[in-house]
Amino acid sequence: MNASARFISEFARCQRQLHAFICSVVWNLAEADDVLQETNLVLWQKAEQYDDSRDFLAWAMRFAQLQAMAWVKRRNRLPLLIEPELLELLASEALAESLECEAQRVALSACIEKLPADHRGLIASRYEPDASVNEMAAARHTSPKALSEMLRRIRRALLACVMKTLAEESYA
Amino acid sequence: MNVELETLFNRVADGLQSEQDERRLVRLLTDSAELRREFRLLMRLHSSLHWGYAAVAAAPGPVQTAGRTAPNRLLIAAAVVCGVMLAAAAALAGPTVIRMAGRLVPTLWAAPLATVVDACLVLVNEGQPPLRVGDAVKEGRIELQGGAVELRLRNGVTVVLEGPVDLLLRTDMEAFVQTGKVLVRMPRGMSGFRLETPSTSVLDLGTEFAVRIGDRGATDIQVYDGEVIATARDSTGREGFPNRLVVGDALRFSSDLEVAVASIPFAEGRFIRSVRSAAGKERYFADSVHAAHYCGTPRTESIQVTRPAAAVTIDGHFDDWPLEPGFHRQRIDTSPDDAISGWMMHDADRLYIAAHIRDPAPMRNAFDPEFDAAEAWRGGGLHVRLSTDRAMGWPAAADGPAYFKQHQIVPDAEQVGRSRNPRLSHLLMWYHAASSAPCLSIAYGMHMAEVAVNPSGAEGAFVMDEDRRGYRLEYAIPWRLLNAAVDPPQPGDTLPVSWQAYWSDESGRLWRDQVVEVRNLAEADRIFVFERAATWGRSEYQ
Repeated sequence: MNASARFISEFARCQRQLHAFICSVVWNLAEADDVLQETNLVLWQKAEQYDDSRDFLAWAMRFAQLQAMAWVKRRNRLPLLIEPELLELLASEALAESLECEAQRVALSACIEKLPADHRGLIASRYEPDASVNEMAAARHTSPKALSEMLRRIRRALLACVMKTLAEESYA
Repeated sequence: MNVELETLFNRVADGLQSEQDERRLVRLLTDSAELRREFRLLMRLHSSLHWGYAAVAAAPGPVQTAGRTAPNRLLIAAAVVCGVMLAAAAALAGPTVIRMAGRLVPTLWAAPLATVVDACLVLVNEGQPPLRVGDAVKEGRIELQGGAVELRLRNGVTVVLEGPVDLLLRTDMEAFVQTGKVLVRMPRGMSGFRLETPSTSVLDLGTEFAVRIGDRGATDIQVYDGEVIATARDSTGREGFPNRLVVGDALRFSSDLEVAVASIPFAEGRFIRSVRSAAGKERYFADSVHAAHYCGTPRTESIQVTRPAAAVTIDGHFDDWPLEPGFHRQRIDTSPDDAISGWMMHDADRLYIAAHIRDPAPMRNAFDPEFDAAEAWRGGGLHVRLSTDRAMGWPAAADGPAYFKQHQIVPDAEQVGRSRNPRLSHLLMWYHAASSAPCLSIAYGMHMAEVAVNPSGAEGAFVMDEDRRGYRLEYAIPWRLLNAAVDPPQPGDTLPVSWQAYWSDESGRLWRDQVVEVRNLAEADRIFVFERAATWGRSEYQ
């Protein structure tokens, strides 16, 4: 595979990890989408500078870090909520977890299948584009806090399932 | 799991956090590597769920104009979750990772790879499934001889195929087009679909784009919305520099990397963007009866080529035509809606052709003579194939590459020479609706590799019937354009000729039916007239 094709492949492959990292800084999914888009545009602009002997994710994460920092500054909050040092820690530690990330994603797929249908439906509604917990709560005649508590329990169950699955695979 | 961290995470994830919550969360993250690890774990879950559900729920309708859209969060977010995750899979790990992703949203991902959501005038190869609306489509090759199909992939991506097309659908984020026209439209906020052709790789960055692969592997790419990265590639896999195309851009990539990428005019109607809106609700499918129509069932073997009584004015009116003798044929005996009457005349300088074609959707051909002349017959019109070679006589012993291939013949030098005879011509006449222009393309020889489009000296005119359910066409073609300037046909000559009229759908893009007339009745119906000149009937020059 030549450099260009490799770039495209690596670019596509790292998207999920970049998004997860950006989420850990930006916290809001839609804004994380925007920051990832900005990161992607920079990556394409810098494509010719990429040395394919280097780890692509590490190279790309650097740009994601810069874009995330730019977003933090754009929020115009002083003092900055997330300092550059914390952002650096989140990025470097995320890089070290890249393999773990992939395994968790696979396990999550199976765990979703194990959820009761109503829980799956609730999660699906929550993660639709532009979904809002406030609007969902209003539609269900409940409070946002109560709905969030339900979501919390489902996320906890999913996470427990993922960790159990990975532990079993590791033991096997 | 730290309970306080989990509580704060959930508030943040659901957008219910206070400023105090945010500060407390940052403090926890700053102070503890373990809590940062737990937080990233929770965020990966959050991101993955967003990734897995967002795009599927956001399948859009077509964008109707090619203008740049207003800023939109999801469109701007070229890396929104699901699409890019699958791009990652498609780009490197392929089906294995796609399958893993496929389990992420079981109720959605258990769906077939693609579903036919609309289809119009579909013609498939014999023995292949007809691709009816609602059919599930698996990974693999999809070939259409004609018509159009709109597929909805399970991740919400729309793919519109316009026949003839040969597409290998690999996953819901990757396909390879060998020939034909393919349009890809991503759901709002989704990106990362990769479409490969023999000469390019196109990576979508959140968009609607279309590709057309020409005869020699050249690829035209047109972007209707958003942007794409297109990289030229030659037959050895060597790649050129990536090109970024944005809305309104159209580029042509050669299969030869040494040939520069060329900008071509953006043309809104170059591709079918929605089968439903482009072609109405009319549908039918290939079967043996339809296949017979495809080849044509002729009744007339000869046509007289008379001499005009006076100078002929090419205006689409037949005042200067005797209108007898000629031929008349209804496509279906019980319906006069699709019918053709045809006449020919000649003098020392020109060949004249006149036809009255009844057509419920007349003069709507959408094929641009500059870019799509080879396929223009699909939009409705008339093909007249003829020989001016007296020495070759009738029937003309000349076959094209398709005939040789079909019959597994390796042609010898003499056969190749006859196939390349420049005095065999295929005249395609159509009315290009967008430019209101009569068009003519002349392909030479049975290989049809040399083509003249709208050559100077030829004249043509179209006139719509008063009831707008038909049209008249009139053409004058100098003998020099038929390579017979010094030795044009003379009274008493009998030379090969064949007529083929085409009807399209209402959009002027999709071939609907045809009639073949003035055909050698001794030749089997199943042989196409374009591949074997011996199938042509007789023109009797008066």
